[in-house]
Amino acid sequence: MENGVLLEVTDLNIEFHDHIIPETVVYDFDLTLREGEIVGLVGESGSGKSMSALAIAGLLSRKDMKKRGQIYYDGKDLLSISRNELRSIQGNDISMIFQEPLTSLNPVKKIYDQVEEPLRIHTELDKEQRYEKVLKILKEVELDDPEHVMKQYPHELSGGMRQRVMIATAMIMEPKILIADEPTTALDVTIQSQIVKLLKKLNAQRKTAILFISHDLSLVNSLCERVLVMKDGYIVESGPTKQVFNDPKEEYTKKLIAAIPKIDMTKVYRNE
Amino acid sequence: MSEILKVRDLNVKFNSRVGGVFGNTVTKEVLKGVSFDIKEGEILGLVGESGSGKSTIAKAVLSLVPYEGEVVMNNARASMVFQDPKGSLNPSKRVGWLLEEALYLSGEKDKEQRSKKAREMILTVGLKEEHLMRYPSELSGGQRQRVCIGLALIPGPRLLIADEPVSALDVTIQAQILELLKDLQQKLGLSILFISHDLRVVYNFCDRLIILKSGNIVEEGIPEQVYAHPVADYTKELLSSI
Amino acid sequence: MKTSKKKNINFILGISVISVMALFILCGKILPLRDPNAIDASLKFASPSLKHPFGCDNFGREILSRVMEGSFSTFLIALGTVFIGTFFGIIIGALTGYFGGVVDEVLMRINDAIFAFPSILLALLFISLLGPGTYQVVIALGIAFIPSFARIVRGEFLKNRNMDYVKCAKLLGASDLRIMVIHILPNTLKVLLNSVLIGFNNAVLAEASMSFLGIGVQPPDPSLGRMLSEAQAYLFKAPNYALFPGLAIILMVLGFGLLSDSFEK
Repeated sequence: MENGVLLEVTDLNIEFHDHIIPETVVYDFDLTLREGEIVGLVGESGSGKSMSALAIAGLLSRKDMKKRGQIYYDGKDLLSISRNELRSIQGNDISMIFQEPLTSLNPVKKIYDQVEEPLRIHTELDKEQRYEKVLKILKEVELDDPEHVMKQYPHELSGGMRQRVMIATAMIMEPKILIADEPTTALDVTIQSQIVKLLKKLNAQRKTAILFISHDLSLVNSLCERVLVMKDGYIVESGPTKQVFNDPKEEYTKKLIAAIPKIDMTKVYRNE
Repeated sequence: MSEILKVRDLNVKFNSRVGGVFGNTVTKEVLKGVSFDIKEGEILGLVGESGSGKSTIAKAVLSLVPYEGEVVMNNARASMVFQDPKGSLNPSKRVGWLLEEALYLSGEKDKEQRSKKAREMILTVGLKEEHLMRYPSELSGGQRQRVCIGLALIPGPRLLIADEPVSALDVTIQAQILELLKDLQQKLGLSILFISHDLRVVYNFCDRLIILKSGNIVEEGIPEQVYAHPVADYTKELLSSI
Repeated sequence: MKTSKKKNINFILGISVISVMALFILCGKILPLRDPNAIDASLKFASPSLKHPFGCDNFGREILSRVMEGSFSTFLIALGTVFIGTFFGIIIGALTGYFGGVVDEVLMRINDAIFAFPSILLALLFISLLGPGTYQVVIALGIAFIPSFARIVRGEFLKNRNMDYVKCAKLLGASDLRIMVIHILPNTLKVLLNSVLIGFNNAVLAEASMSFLGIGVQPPDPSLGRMLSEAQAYLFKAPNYALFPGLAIILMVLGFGLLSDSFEK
């Protein structure tokens, strides 16, 4: 495989067969993700962006669904390897965080147990080593007072804190790839920018490649080096974020950019 | 310009029990003496994070929660548009039925008039007549929010309270809904209390804005001025996130 | 299009089984068959033949016409039971779920008390008060079935009463009764339909067991449960006597069971 390329998706098509009429939701999806890169995947709801991400994470069920194409990771095609092999890659090398941190955390389990879970599954570490690791990752996602937080339940935390816990759970195995599916959409704007900063920091420190999925082009602009724009299951435009932003080729991309509320930033108070 | 809504010293407290059946009752002050006005034809932005009490203001104005203080509506009606357009439409009824029901409850007893007015309203909010036959689940998020706005307009309100009406929508759809609201505001001379956590949205949309933190108003003014010269530290913090 | 393939098969199978049973009951009403209660000593334990397709019982009564008549009365009793259960269940569930508070506490505690007894035991209690008979069975089973329906309806109302669409209706000035009946009730129908179908099955089985114990439909009127109980003495001599009423019960329960499966989410 080419130098630095972590993941290569070619010609991915996803077709649902659970209804009487088959329905294609993703057509000819191509994506190359290099080490330490942040790629944005932008589109409206129903554009197929989440479906593509779920397929890459190996979370789409194999029943009722046809997937064509290849998803190459580490020389293996994730679409054709066995369940066991896939499981060792899931959570270990590829992690995912979701939009709604309340439903992605188990409501009856304490934070510590949830963050520790991947270590129990994938490693042979003993109790103390696991505790050390959990504490370290909770500090790294900038949770205040991690010793206290790990004894709490998800409903006792705020939305932003929950999303930090989710990120900690996803990052504890030091994955090569983190897929973030609209991780900030359910959060307040101030919290949004904190989470984006955190993802940036983790990316810089750990060289984790991030696939960042969002409907918000301005967020993608502030975070990603490269961007793919999806519409109705097709990738309609892709390229470096600056280029797509300043010189959009497609009508649809122009429309997306026009929808961002315009604020003259020179007239806004800055702390610096 | 005269005020359409006058709120003076609004206090709202909730009692909640901590620690099960035998625990203590804890009183939580959600609003601590909030005062503001909305003028005729004005769009007032109400900005704050979740838990700041901004939705509680809306509920107090509509008497959906018990409150202390003064809320004076200047012989006007108020309607409300909620954040989640999916939850605010009855899933088992067609759009046409929902509009006609709202007309019936607003006192339109003539069936033919009702269906005529429902057709007019669906066009007013930028949908087509065919959408009358659809169920809410068959509409997109933006279309559903348009229906909600139509429902809110039916009683002929002078004040529209919009509680995060675009937060659950995609960015492109957000812009369309905001445009519709602005259109309606100008055409019908509505006043709008626009509740949001997003300073980017508020900037171009509102004539004036209030920033709320933990039940207190910390900042008030026209957007250009507030964004350029914020007074409160909290506002500065909010602005650094855009 | 939204229904998946497997659910569709269940629906078609369920509908077909129910249609076969309905047709069977209807035939019993229309065709000039022998009176189900007519006794003919010469036909005692007659084997199935062209003239008597299901054979005859220990009194020489024709089993075919008795199964038809018995299915009909079982069907009617189950229908009546479910109707009483659903009707009062909706009223109690709607009031308690929508208003909550003291009404909820009082009604639901009574509900819990009734719920604590197995429905058959409860029905037995009512029968001992009302005396045996077809109408008494309907009333007894109906009352025993109210709590489970009330619980389901209450849950749905509880879930819906805090939804924004109810707030919208309130803001528009809809009365509580209107909100309950016109706005919320239709949203509970999907869940309710399912429990009605399952409830129907339970009622069929409950009626059969009560008649089997001799406290349901009174002789000489035919009933599926009663026929089973009479047939068990002649299980080896005339297996057809037990087979056909048993088959009728199985088909009825199977049909509604498949149908309720297909309505699940």
